[in-house]
Amino acid sequence: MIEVRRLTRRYGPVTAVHDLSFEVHPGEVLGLLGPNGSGKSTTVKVLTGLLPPTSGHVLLDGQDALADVTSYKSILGYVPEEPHLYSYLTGPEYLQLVGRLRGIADAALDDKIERFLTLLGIWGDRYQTLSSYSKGMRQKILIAAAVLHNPRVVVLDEPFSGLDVSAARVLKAFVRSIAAEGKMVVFSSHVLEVVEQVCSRVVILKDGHVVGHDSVERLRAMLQLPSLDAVFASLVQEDDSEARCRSMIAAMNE
Amino acid sequence: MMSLRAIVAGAPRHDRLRAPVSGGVTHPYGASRALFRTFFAQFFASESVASDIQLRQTIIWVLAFLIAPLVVLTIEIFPHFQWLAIRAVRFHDTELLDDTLEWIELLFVSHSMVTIGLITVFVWDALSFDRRDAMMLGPLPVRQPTVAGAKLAALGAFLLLAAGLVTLPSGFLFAMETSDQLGALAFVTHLVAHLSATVGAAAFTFAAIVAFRGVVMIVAGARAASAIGPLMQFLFVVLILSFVILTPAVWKISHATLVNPTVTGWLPSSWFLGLFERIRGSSRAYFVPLATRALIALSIAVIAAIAVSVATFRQQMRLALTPPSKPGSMGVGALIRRLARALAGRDPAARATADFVVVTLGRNRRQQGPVAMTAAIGAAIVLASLAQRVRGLESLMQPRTIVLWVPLVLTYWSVLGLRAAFLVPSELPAAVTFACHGPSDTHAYWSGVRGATIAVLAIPVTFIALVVTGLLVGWPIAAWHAAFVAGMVVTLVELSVLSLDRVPFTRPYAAGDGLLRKRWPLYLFGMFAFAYWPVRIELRLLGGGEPWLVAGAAGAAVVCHLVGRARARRWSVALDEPISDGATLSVLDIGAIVRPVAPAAVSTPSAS
Repeated sequence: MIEVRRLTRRYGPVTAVHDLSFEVHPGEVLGLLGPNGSGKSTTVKVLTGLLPPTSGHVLLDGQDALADVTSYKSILGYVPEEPHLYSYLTGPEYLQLVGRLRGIADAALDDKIERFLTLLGIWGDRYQTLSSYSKGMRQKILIAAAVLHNPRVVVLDEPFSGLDVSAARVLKAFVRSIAAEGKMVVFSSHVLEVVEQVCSRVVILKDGHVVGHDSVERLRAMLQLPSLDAVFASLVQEDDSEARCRSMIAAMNE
Repeated sequence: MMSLRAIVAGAPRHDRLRAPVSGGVTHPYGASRALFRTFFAQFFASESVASDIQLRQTIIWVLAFLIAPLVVLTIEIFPHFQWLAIRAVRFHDTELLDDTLEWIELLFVSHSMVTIGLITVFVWDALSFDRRDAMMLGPLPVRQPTVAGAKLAALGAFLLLAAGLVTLPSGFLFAMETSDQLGALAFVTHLVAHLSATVGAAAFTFAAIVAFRGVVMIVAGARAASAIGPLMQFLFVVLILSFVILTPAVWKISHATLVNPTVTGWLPSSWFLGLFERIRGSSRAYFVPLATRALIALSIAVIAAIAVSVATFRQQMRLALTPPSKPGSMGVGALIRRLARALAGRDPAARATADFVVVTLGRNRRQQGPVAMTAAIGAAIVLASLAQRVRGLESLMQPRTIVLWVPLVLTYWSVLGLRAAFLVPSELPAAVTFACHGPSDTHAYWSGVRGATIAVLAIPVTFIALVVTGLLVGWPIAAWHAAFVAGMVVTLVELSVLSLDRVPFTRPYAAGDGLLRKRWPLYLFGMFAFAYWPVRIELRLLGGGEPWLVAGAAGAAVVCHLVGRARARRWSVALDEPISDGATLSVLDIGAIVRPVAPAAVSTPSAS
C-alpha cells in the first residue's frame, strides 16, 4: 500500500500542497482531481520522488519510500504530464534508454519494445525520430516507458492527452486491468468523464488542500449531485462558467 | 524562436483588429518588420550562454579576438611603410611602395574573408529557413514573398553589421597609415577603395556560404546541411588561426609570386585586391581582370544566395507537411555506440548513459560545435608547428616532437571541446527521463560517460597515431607510440570525467562553464603538460625504455580511473530546480546581472 501522510510542499512563501493525506491500496485506481494550480502536479512529483516534500511522508508498505529513492523508483512507473522526450532519438531508442536505465537486459528489452510498439500501433514508425511523432504517438511512448519494467505503482499524469479515441479506450481498459492485477494506480486528470469511468476513489484538491476524498458514488450521493462534473464544480466553487464565457466573447469582439 | 505573438504584434493595430478570420493577409509592412526582427534575432540566439549580458560579452570578446591581429599587424608595419612612403615621395619612385601596399591590402582582404566566413559558419543554422520556420509560418496569413524578403533583409543586415564591425576600424587605421605622407585625397581614396574591397570580399564570402548551405539543403536535405556546420566551423577556425600564426611568414614571399596570374589570379582574395587597386587608381594593368572577376564573382554569389534562399524556403514549406527523414544509421557512429556500451561495462544504466552520450554528440550540432572549434585550435597549432619546423618530407621521417605530439595535441584540444560540449544542455526538460527512470547512488553514469568518451576519442586517435607514425617513422616505433598515446588519452579522459558530476547535456548551462577565454593560460599549460613534455620524455626513452613509458602512461590511467570510481557515487540525476507547479519567478530586468537569491526575496508567485 502507498500512503501519503500529512504531505506539505512549499515553494518559498507559496504552499503548493498543505497537509495532504491519502492512501492507495493494491488493485485500486485513485483519481487526483483539481483545477490548475491546485497542487496535483506537485503531489504527483513528490509521489514519484522527483521532488522532496517540505514535510510529511510517502510510505510504501509502511516504510518511508523516499528514504531509498532508487528502490522506490524501481517499482514505480510514471507518465509525466508533459511529453518531454529527446526528439533526436527514435521511439525504440528512447525506450532502450529508459529500459537500460531501469536495468532491463538488452535481449528482453528489445522483445518488450517491439511488442509494446506493435500493440500501440507505432511499430511502423520505429525509424522516425520523436520530433516527427504526433502528440498522441509521443504519449504512447511515455506510457510504454512507464510500464516497460512491470512496476507495482503506476502514476499517470494526464495520460490521455493527445490520444485518439481507440487508443484512449485501450488505455482505459489497460488501467483497469493493471489495477485488477494488484497494482496501485494514481490517475491525475482534468477529464472528469474518464476519471469517473476508471477510478475507484478520488481526491479533489483546491489551492493545495483536500476538499473531497471518497469514491465517486459516495461523493455524488453525499452532495446529491448527478455527476462527478457537478461534484467537482460544487467542491472547487468555480465561477459561473457561463458568465465567464460571455465575458471572453465580449473581449474577443472588442 | 519564431513567435506568433511577435508577428501579430508587428502588424498595425487597426489591421489586427480588422483582420479577416480566413484568407486575410496581415499588413505586409508590419509583418515584414516583425519577421525581420525575429529572423535577425535568430543570429544571436545561443543556449551556451546564461544571459543576454553574457552573450554581449561573448560577442565583444570574439570581435576583439578577430580584429586584434590586424591592429597588431598595422602597428607592426607602420615604421617600415612610413620609410617607404618618405622614400617614394622624395625620389618619385612609388614602385616599392605600391608593392608593399598590395601585400598589406591582400592581408586585409584575406582577413576580411576569413573573419566573415568564421562569423557566418557560427550562425550556420540561422542562414537558411528550416522546418520549424515553415511549421510556424505556414498557418499564418503572411505571403511567402514577405517571409522570403524578411529573411533576405535579415541576412543582409547581419552581413552589414558583421562586415562593418570587422572592416570599419581596420579600414580607418589602414587609410591613416597608408596615406600619412600622401595627403587627404589619398586618405579618402584609400579608405573608399579599402572598404569597397574588404566589404565586397566579406559579402562574397557570406553569400557563397549561404548559397553553399542552401544547395546542400536542397540536394542532400536539411539534416546533411546541418551536419556539415561543425566541419565548416572547424575549417574556418583553422583558417583564422593559421592566418594569425602564418602572417609574419607571408612577408618572405616574393612579389612576383603574389601577382602570378596562374596561381593567385584564381584566388578570390586577389580579385578583391584588384578591386582595391582599380578604385585606388593603380596603373598596373594586371589588376583590371582581377577587379572584373571580383565584381562578377560577387554578383554571382549574391544572386545565387538569394535564389537558393527562396528555393529552400519553398522546399521547407513543402516539406513541413511531410514527416522528416529517418535519422540515418550514423555509419561509423553505430560502431562507436557499440564500443561505448562495451566499455561502459555490464550495468545497463551505464550502457544507457554511454549510448545516450554518443547519440547526442552524433546527432546534435549544438554539441558538436565546441568539439569542432577546439579541435580546430589543436589542428592550427599542429599546422603552425609543422610550417615552422618542417623543411620537406624527409624531416618528418624521423621521430621528432612535432611528429609524435600530433595525436596528443589533437586529443587534448578535442577533450577540452568534449567537456565543454557535455555542459551544453540538450532538450533540458527531457532530463526528467534520467531523474524519473535512472537509478541514483550508482557509478553507472560515470562509467557510461567515460566509456563513451574513450570510444569517441581513444580508439580512433590510437589507430590514427599507429598508422600515421608507422608510415613516417616505421612500425616498431609506431606500435610503442600508439600504446603510449592510448595510455595518455585514457588518462586525459579519466581526468576530464573527474570534473563532471552529472550526466552530460542534462543540466542548464552555468555562466563560465568551459569558457576558453578565461582559462586559456591553464589550457595552454595543459597542452605542454599533456602533449609536449610527455613526448620529450618519450624521445629520451626510445631505444630500450619504451616498456617503462607505456607502463607509466597506463599507471597514470589506472590511478585516475580509481579516483574517478571512488568519486562516482557523487554523481546525481536529480532535477536542479524545484518544479514549481506553474508558479513563476518575476524579476525586473534592469540590464544588470541577476544572481540567484532565495525565492522569498524576489519571487512573485502566480497561481496557475
